[in-house]
Amino acid sequence: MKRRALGLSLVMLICVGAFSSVALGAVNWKQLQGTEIRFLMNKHPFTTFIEPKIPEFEKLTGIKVTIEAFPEDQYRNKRTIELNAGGKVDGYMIMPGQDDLHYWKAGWLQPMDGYNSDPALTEADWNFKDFFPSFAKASSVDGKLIGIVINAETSLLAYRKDLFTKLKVKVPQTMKELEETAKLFHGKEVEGKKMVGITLRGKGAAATSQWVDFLYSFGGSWTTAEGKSNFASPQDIAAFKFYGDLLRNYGPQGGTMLHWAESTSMFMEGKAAMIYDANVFKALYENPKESKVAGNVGYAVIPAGPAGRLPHVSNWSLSISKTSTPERQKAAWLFIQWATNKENCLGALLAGVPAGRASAWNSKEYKSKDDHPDWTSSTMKSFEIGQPQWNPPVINVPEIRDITGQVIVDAIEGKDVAASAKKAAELMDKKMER
Amino acid sequence: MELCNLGADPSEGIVGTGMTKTFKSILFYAGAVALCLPPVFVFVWMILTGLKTGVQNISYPPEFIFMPTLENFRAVFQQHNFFRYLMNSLIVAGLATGISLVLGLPAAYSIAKYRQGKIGILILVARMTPFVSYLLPWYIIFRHLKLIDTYTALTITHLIITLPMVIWLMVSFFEGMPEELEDAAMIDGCTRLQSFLMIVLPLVRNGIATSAILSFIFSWNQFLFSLILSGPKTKTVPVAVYNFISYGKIDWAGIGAAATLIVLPVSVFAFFVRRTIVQGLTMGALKD
Amino acid sequence: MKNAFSAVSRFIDRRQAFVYPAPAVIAIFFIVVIPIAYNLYLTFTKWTIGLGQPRWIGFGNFVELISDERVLNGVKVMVYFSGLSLSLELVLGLLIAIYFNREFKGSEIVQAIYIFPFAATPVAVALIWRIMLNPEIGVMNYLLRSVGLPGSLWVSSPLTVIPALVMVDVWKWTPMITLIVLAGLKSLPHDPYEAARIDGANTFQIFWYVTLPLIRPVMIAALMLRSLDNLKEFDMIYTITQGGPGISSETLYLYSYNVGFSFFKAGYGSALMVVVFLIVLAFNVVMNRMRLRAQEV
Repeated sequence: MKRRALGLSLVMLICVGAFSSVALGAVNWKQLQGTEIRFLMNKHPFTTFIEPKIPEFEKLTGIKVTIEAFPEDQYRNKRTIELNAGGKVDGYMIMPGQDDLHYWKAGWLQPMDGYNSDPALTEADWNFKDFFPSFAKASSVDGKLIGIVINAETSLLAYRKDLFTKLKVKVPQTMKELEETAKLFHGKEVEGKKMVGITLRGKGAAATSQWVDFLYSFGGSWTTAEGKSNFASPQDIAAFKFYGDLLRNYGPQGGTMLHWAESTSMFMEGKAAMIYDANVFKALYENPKESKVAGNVGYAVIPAGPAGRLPHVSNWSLSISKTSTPERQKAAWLFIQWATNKENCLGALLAGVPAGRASAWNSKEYKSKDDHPDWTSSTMKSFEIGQPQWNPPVINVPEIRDITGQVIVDAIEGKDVAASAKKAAELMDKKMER
Repeated sequence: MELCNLGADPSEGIVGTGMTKTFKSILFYAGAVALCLPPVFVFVWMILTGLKTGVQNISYPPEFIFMPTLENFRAVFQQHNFFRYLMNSLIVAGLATGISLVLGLPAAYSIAKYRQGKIGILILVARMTPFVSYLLPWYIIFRHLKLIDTYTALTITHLIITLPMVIWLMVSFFEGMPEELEDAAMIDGCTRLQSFLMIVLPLVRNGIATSAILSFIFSWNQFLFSLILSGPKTKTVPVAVYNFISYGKIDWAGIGAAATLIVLPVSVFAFFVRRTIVQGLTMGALKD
Repeated sequence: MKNAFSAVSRFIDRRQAFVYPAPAVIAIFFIVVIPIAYNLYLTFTKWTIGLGQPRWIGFGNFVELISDERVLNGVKVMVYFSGLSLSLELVLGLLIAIYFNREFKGSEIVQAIYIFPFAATPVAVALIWRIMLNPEIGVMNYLLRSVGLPGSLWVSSPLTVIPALVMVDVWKWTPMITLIVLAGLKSLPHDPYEAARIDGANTFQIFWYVTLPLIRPVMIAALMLRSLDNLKEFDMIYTITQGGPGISSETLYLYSYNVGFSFFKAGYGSALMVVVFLIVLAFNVVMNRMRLRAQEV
């Protein structure tokens, strides 16, 4: 009698066990209950989106998550210093295109392939393949996955739909047309304000993120096939010159001090006919509390240069710190997985953060709420054709960006671009670490 | 025209009779107002920025007359946990000042009395070194000692600013003090320690007040150290201003509100103790 | 208990010159000397933070430093900025102090207003200045244009950036200098003035031959007080221009911060910081000599 009861209860237990694992999915979300993890984040719209939802995650897993967010300028410094000093960092936001080589060589990035393919840690329907391939590739080093995309960025040409319609101007398709369109609007008085044709970033190193699109579209590149600086090549010089001339002739005064904040402010104040900057700023342009041009903005892919349309794509990813303990790394993976699941990516997209998942963009929910189909289609197109190498292929990216920035500044100021580029090429050869 | 007192006896006031006097008087006050405009204007503009919305802040021509909103000020307290930052700044500045006084007063006294110039040079070297060079070593050390994001670490680093200032200022005050009083006290049976505590210190209480006030103000305004060495629990007020600069957005209105809230306490405080500050700075300047 | 206290008291008394400064010296040793020593060590190494360990390279950093154009630029910017701001602050401080050196109603208010820029948190007001100096939508240009003057590029042009930054610095610190000099003026003896008046000197002569020499020690002391912080100005420049446009407002100090904390080259950055220190030291030595000579007069 006893044995039968035992056997029966055993069978029941097994059934219940099997049933529950089928019902909840293969991952036991509570497996790392009680762990405490700390993430360093950039003060980014994604952070703003995910932070209020963290209690959900904590309830689901019993893992305590602490987020520390810093403004971008200070964030990189703080993150590097902490990692170097062996701080208790379990995960962080990173732009792989900017810091992955440095961080990989420093041993701060934990490869994620293991977690991704482990059914005990990753839900089957989390589906890594849902992420855009170019971004997934960008978040890998030496073939190892090191980050999961949370913000898929590219640059777009945003323009004043209302003014274009009024003056019967077409959206520029080539660089030449871009220049002509800027010239047309520059100096015109609209609603009592004197306009500039276009506004771009001009502040040295900060401007390289947008300038690089012109670099590629003019057929240039960071380095030659031999790995030396390519700045002195005619294509690179052409890209510098075009960018500098454009900003100097048809842009706001003081172009060399324009960071995205000043540039976007100009556009939102209604003083610029066009702006070329990150797609993520749509959330700003269309917010009537911040922008006077909300509702009047059109979005297009970068005009074609001699080598075609070649914008860059970049992304912010969540990575796991190799300096953490194995247990906390797993907990960090659970957090990252949750933060980037289909539901949250869609939510982020609806909140204005360009998601890295194709499913989010293709969802019915998004499509029905999409007020700006031209933004969506331009973004999608840019994702397709975009170049992931938006930074010089070196370890010491900030330093080389700085050198590049000097040439951009010289170009904006109208100095001898060829000479400046040549000098920068020599300096870059001397300083770059690979 | 005797408008400016370029060195003439200041007790004279504005010279002249009847109409000339009134005219000169008006001219003088007009000039005084003009000279007070720059500080006032920036202060006012800061407050106005905080009272506007984002759109209003990027408007040109700038809006002088508009519907003010308290939204930003409220957001600073609610969304950005400003109260905590104020507390943190208060604690760190208070501790740094307090410790500096305890350590610095005896040291300054000794330097003054025994002419220990060499120690004085050490202090000067501390003040001359660029603050940036302290950052990396401190960070590594504090990380090893698990002191990041603690009041301990922040206070220690703020001592770099406050301790040399206290010592430098107090040396001047102690030097200006006659030794006879001390000797008299000792004849009366006090130990040196007692005479230090009960005779000397009260004599230089102005200096103590000044150095405490200045230490506090400089520590409160310190940005770089707090930026690198603080964390969410101990973030101080100047670092908090940068909260309003995020990816894709600079919240000028928020900055205006935050700046106002940051600058106001210190300014009000300084206002009440302004005479002490000026006197102390002058003493330090004169007796150097 | 009382016995213990007096025993300790006597012990301290006998070694007063030693015991009194000791805690402060120990504190400074740990807080100051050790980090400086570590920095000096780094000065002779090559090390990118996170990549490997510091590697000894002797004077390699200094060799690189000499041929680094940005170092020369950094020194030039420092000299231009500090020279202009310090001299303006002193001259304006003196003139304004003289202007206010009289009995008048509202002197309290002036004092209160003049305390504000000094006490205001540099980072906070620098951000406000940044908004105000925007060439397109800033209020400063609005004010200029409304009186018919053309707007300036302020900090957005390499030509005007230093003067613009100097303007902000002057705004912040002249009031303090003014208050110090004013207090100094008020404590000047009356006799020399009486004598000069009896001798028939006019206003300008009184100013030049009586006031100036008498106030010189105060001025020099104010200069020394101010120069220590002015040469190491960081918060304001970092907040408003970050060294731009290009590198035209990049003081050597700012450059060393970038090298150390943006490029993460700890060795080279430390070498640059040593140079900054030497410059500040040299300046102070010169100033000290001037002060001693002034006191001899």
